Amino acid sequence: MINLKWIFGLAGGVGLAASLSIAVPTQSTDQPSGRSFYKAFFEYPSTTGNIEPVGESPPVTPGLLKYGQWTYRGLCIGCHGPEGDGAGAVWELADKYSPNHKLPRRPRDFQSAVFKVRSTPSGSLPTDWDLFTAISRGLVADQDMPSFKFLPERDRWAVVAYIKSLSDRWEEEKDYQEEPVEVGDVPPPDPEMLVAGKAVYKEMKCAKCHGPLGKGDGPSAPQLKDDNDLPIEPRDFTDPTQFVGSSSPKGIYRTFTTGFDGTPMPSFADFLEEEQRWQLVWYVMSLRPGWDINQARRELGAGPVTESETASESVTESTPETGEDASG
Amino acid sequence: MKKSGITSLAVGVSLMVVGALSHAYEVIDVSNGGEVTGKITFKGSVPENPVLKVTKDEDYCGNTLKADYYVVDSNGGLKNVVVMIENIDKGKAYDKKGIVEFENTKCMFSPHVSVGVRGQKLGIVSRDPILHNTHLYHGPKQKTMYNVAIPLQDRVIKKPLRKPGEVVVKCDAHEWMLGYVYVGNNPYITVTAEDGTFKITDVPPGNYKVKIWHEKLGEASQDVTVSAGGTATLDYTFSN
Repeated sequence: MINLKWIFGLAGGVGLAASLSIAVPTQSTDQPSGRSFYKAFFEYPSTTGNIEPVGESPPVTPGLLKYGQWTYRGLCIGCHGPEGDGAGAVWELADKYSPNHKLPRRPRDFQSAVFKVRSTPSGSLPTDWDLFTAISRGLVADQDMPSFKFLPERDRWAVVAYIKSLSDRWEEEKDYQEEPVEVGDVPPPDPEMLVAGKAVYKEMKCAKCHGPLGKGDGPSAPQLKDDNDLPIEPRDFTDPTQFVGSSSPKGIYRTFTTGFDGTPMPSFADFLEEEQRWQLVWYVMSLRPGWDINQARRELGAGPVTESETASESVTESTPETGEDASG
Repeated sequence: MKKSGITSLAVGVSLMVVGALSHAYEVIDVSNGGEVTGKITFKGSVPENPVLKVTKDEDYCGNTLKADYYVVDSNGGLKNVVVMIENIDKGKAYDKKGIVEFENTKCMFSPHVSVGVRGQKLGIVSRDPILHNTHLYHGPKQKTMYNVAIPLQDRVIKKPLRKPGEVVVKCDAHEWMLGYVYVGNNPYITVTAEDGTFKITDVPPGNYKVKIWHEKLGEASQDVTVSAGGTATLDYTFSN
């Protein structure tokens, strides 16, 4: 058993070292070594394919950080850069070498440590869980950030730890962090919620950016910019594949509650009660073409809405044939 | 490029500890404190405040607004200058739960420049019936500090001022809106009045560096000596 581990470790090490020496020749002498490294490598969960972590985050040891740095240099450096400030070659040299495949946004700057997708209120740092799931899921829609769920869980934790070592925010602001937003169980949608949700959408003035029907075409849309002064578009709610955060009901709840720091999307946390938030979630969900209230209810283990209720469901203006799918 | 993540981490951590120590402000009993008072003036021809073109919500905001970057009275007194003692780590008590008032009113921020102490909260409110968002930026790269929507009028929301230094405030919905919150590490921070005057009280006797900051005219540093129960005068003149 032990032999096997060493062989794997060595093989992986040689492979990564080889890729490192190509990418960053000056780094080739700087490899993890000694017991702490192997401790980091072998003692933590090796699950792959999961988005959310299965195991607890491992304690941050020098070995884990070293391993995280090593993994970062192998996989992340191209976009996020050797210094972690988002100035990787893929970004910096795009104009020269790949003008047709320029990233739509500047890769995340871990030195500034301002993150869009978080479970924490606007201005607070993300949790380790947030970073882990972002690495796992990727942010494909907006940033071409691929999913790294193929990495063993321990590798992802190591990268999380390393990323956090790149900014002093984690240390300097630790006394000023606000608690993560609790997202409770998703209530099944009903027609009244959709009517109420439409009113919340109006009251919160979501249409200013996202447009009256959620197509991302509100009057403010054309002039919005992100922190890097690059144009940014409000999300089109009718196309969930283009969502940056999770497009699930809980994900939508979280997004408008926390906002996306570094973008014009603000936090609405102080203006919405729990009930209103779910109303808004379901109204936004209902804007998707073909969205079906009974299908959504069934996924949550609830029965179909009764016929008298479905009559008022025309508020969504998108799904005339609601009852049929449910029975079939 | 960093030679080693671990070395830099170790250095980083030790720097943070040092940094944290120098940041920490300790409240002591200041019974024999002095004052620093003075006047900040502007000499020369006052630059014209630009006319801001309203590009949205004209029904409510009007078609143009006047910027308030340079506010100079007939005697040259310059408003909205931040004056702060920098190197002071022990001194008077202050309201740690204090709220720095910050209004969105008539499609402008009011006050245009305000000051707070790290850990205090910004109390953000809108007096307008339109959608504002209050988006704070910090640091040399001007990254988001936080960004809150203000869809409804007259409801105050409170967010912590986490970092010391200059904070720029903008509204993504109305690009002409601009404000500043200067966050001090200690409560010896103030902003000049209409006539350019300021007063910092209960300063323990000693020699201090005073920072003077104006959004457009830049910053200056002045030395000042405060004696027990005395008044130190600090006047400064910006010019163009």
